[in-house]
Amino acid sequence: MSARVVAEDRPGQAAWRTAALQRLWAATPALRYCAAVYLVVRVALFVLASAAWSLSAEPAAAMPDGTPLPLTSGWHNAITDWNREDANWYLYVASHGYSAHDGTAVFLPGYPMLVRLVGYLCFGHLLLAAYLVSNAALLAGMVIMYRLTEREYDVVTARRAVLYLAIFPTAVFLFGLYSEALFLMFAVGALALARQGRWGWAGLVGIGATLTRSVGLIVALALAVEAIHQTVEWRRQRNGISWRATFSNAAPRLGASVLPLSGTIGYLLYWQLRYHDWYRPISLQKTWWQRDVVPPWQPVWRGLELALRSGSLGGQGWAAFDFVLVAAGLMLGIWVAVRARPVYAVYTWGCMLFGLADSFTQRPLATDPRYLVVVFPLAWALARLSQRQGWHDAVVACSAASLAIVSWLFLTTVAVY
Amino acid sequence: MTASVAAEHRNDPAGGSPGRSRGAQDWLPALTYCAGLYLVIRVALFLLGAAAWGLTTEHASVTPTGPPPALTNGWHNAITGWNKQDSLWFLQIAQHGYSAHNASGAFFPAYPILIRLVGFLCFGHLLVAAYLVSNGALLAALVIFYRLTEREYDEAAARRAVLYLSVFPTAFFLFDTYSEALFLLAAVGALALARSGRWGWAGLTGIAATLTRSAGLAVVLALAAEAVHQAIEERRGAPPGRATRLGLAPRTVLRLGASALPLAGIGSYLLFWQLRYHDWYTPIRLENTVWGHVFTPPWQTLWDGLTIAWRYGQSGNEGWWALDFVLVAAGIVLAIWAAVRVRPVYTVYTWASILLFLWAGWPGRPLMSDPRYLVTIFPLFWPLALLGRRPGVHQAVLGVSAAAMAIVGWLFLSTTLVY
Repeated sequence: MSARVVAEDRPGQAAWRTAALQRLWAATPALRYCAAVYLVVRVALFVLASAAWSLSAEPAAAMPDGTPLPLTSGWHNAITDWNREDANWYLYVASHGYSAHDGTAVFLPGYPMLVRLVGYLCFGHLLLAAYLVSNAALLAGMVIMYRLTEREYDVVTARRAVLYLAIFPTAVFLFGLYSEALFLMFAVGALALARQGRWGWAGLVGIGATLTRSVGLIVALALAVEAIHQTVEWRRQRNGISWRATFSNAAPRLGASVLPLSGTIGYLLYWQLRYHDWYRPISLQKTWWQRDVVPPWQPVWRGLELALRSGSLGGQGWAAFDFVLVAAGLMLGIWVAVRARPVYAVYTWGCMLFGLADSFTQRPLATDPRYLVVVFPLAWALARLSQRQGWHDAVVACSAASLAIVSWLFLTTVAVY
Repeated sequence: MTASVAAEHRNDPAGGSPGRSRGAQDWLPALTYCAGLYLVIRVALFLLGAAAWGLTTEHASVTPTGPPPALTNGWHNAITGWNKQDSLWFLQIAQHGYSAHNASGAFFPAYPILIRLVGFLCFGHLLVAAYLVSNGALLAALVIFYRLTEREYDEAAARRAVLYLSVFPTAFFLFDTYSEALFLLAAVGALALARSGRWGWAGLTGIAATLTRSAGLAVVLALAAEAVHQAIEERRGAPPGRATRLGLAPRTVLRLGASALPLAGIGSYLLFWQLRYHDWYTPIRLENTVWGHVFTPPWQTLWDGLTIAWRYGQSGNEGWWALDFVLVAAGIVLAIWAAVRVRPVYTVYTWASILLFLWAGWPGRPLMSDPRYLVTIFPLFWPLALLGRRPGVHQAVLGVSAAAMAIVGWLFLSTTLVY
């Protein structure tokens, strides 16, 4: 490279650096606000776990191999108590890897792989690594969501939406050792990048989503819808443009939106190559976890029936509990369908229908309330509907109270997962 | 305060302009806001009652007569699930009156008397009557508290203060069939009337406070402090001259007399026990013999609470001392702020209330019930309301407080260790 070319590059590099700094500077208010919200809820949840330990007779969480985790007194319960249910499974996969002889295959590898990697930096302490991964992902997810909301609506909506997401009744799973936070970061990241027209990055980030949760497939679907939408918008701006030009404009976008499928395919390929059974992650859902694929309306109807039948029976109200939370999500979903951009409507309803179609036989809507927490456009619906201060206060109070109760039930029973 | 100013205040207790229609208009925003707030929390608490029944194996509370009430399935648990602990005693007294053979003497008569009276309108359904009395009193108290805060600070602070009071971690006792809401109404009413110079009504309202809870004594002290404070203010504002200053003396004596009036409530209750059972000391003695309260210096109660909380806070299912201590400590921190920043009448009310309950500690669980007593000390919510001017602080206070109320309410419903 000649000296002249280097000299020409210098202004280009400077401009790039300035643009990067400007982007960083623009994200500072979002980071500051999200960090404050995160910290308050994070500390509150640790205090809650300590209280749950000291004010109830907690059942011990079981490890994937069946052995119960030992319960010991101490302030450490504020942190260790969150290691329950699926969290145990993720740590197990991170520690021992997959096996063809247990139920590990249904837990996609994005989160446990990162836990394992960060674990090396934490001197093998996987619990700490799991917290670092999920909480850093959550904070990043919140910041991206804030910026995206700012773009789609305004700052006030952004602040409210991030807050509502952080205190959503099942937001406990975002702060816990679950893969929801990582998935949220990838999903909101992929859609935000697609909205900016950075389709290559969007596709790559989408791979992160499909490697983290099976519902990542919906990210691919939403990206495809956005690709078409942007092409339609592009065509409208250019009267009389040929279809050939339109297709050539759409092709790279559609190609990028298909990219995330490689995450799911890669994982199934791993099972084929390692255990000669690519279908195991899917078949286990039924054989090990008692989940059936059903029409989405069926679990909602059965959930309602069960809720009405057993909701008022002492200790048997779990179906009602599930139904109330899912119904709230569905109602907010209607707003998203009507008022939000198609990409978000498709993402919202795709995620909800995907979760509903994969139903437990005994308790049709179990875990569906947890799945709602990654459907971030629902928080937009709440934020737009709660523009008056009184409504905002009501949402904050009711949502925070519900989060506290759901967290308490997660910590003190084995019926919330 | 000059005579003309006093006259103006008599026309308008809350500091608005005179005139009946204007007065009603002044009260309307307070009523609308408080009613909306009350309704949201009322419904949420009923839902919590139903959820606690549906999602836990609830413990039946012990009744005054011994056997626990039957627990039955049904949505009615949203309402009846809250009828636990002291509620059962109040209903028992409302139905059967006092007895020298049980611990009913420790429960002051105003709330059960009102339940009994309203019960006649409810065709004898005392639980409905109890809800009507306590919830009606709560709504009235919220409105008066709103107006008083508006007078002392501003409308925005009033809205936040009322909101924070309603979602305080133990605020569910205000919505429940306990006597706290009625006491709050009498206390805030008496102090608001005294502040507007209506001393006769303040004294009479104070009687209702001392007839409702023994903590009514704090209202007496606060009224006396306000009487002295008003005298000092008038003395400062009066023109020089001996005659004018001498003219202030009778007014001060009258105010001090009005502030002593609430003592008649406690006096008459003890007189009732003397006349009916020939033992006026029963209500006081029962606190120790049946309910296990021991009179100890307040600092000792607090210290014992802290040491036990620290010792057992981290032990499984033994953190009740820590729960008590954390809530009481939060109240004391706010009370310190109040002592520095608010008018003396509220400082006296706040600290007299706190010292009164700390004075009667339980040896086994020194701060038990104290978190509940905090909910009637309304000046504690002013520091919070002023801090809540910043939206971030407001959201944090609201969210954390509502979450804490949900958990403490849940523990009240699903255990027998919160009362």
